[in-house]
Amino acid sequence: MTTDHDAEFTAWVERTAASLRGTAYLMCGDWHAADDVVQDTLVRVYERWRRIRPEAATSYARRVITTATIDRARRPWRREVSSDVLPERVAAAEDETPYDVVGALAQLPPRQRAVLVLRFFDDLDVAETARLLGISTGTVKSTTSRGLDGLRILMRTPVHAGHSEETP
Amino acid sequence: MSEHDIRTLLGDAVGDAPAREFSTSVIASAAAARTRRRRAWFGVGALGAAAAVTVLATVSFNLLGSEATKAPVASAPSTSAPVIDPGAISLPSSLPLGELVGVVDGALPSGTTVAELPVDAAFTPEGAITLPLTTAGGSADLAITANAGGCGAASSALDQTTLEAISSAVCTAAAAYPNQPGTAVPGGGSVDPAS
Repeated sequence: MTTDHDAEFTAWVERTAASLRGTAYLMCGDWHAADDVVQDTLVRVYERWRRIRPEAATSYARRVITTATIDRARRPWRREVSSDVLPERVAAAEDETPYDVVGALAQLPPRQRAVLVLRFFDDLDVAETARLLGISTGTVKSTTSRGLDGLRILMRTPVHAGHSEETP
Repeated sequence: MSEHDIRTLLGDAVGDAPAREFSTSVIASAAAARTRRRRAWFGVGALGAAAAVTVLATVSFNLLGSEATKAPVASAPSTSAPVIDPGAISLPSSLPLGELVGVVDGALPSGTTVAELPVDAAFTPEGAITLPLTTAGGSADLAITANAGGCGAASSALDQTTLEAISSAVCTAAAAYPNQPGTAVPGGGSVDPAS
């Protein structure tokens, strides 16, 4: 790549890396894994930098991160056990419960997690989220609803229900 | 818990992110390594495919060969009889139209090319053909002959030097075939099978 392209790419990375790391972290629940995913993503974006513009690059990067984290969660040696039965609601008031949002997210199915992160961390609208995940807007809406419901229930459970690998 | 709360919680959760720099030079090196790996795998894949094709071809050939040796001797054709295979695809016996166009295009001056050919373009039995030309000034025709009497080219749009060059190139190309252009092929419907 030319020096101009490298300079453009560097500027884009400086603008977006923190946001992309946040997206990856919330989807993986682990900063080391998130950094690996972001590094791989940036390599892919770099390879295509001549053909894509910065705006499209950010969208493309989010898609790569989402796909990578969903695939990662599906690998047999890392497969997470999702349960249809969510933990019982705890009667404690919300302000008395320490919120472990990352731990709660990690207990959701990968797609629900991705939808929630894209909608409420990256502030994408329904249409953009649907386009990025390759699903219909109706599916995004229903997945958001189920994900929020699951998150609310999980957030009311004691913190020890979370996982242990999200700590940096 | 509202959607606003979720946004706030997610924002707070990444607020204590450990520092991490992404260097463009490191990313560029990783991209180059990735490209090299991909090319290497592509090469391995191509070699594997070639090896598989070779093995399959060898096995098929051996199977067919063993079948042939099992055939009754009485049914084997006489090797002294001429082989006539009217349905066979043969090489062109005279200068194909496609090659003619390439030869003429190569001898034309810059800015002049052979235009789209009409669907019925073909050498006459006398070895003559007219090709349409696209020139800087519009269009023109180029009449070509290639027969036992020699080769010739005529066009109002080209100078004598160019016409001689075309004529010479066509003659050289036509000489590579046993028949004069436009010679009818006995038993075949096409005068110019490769065109």
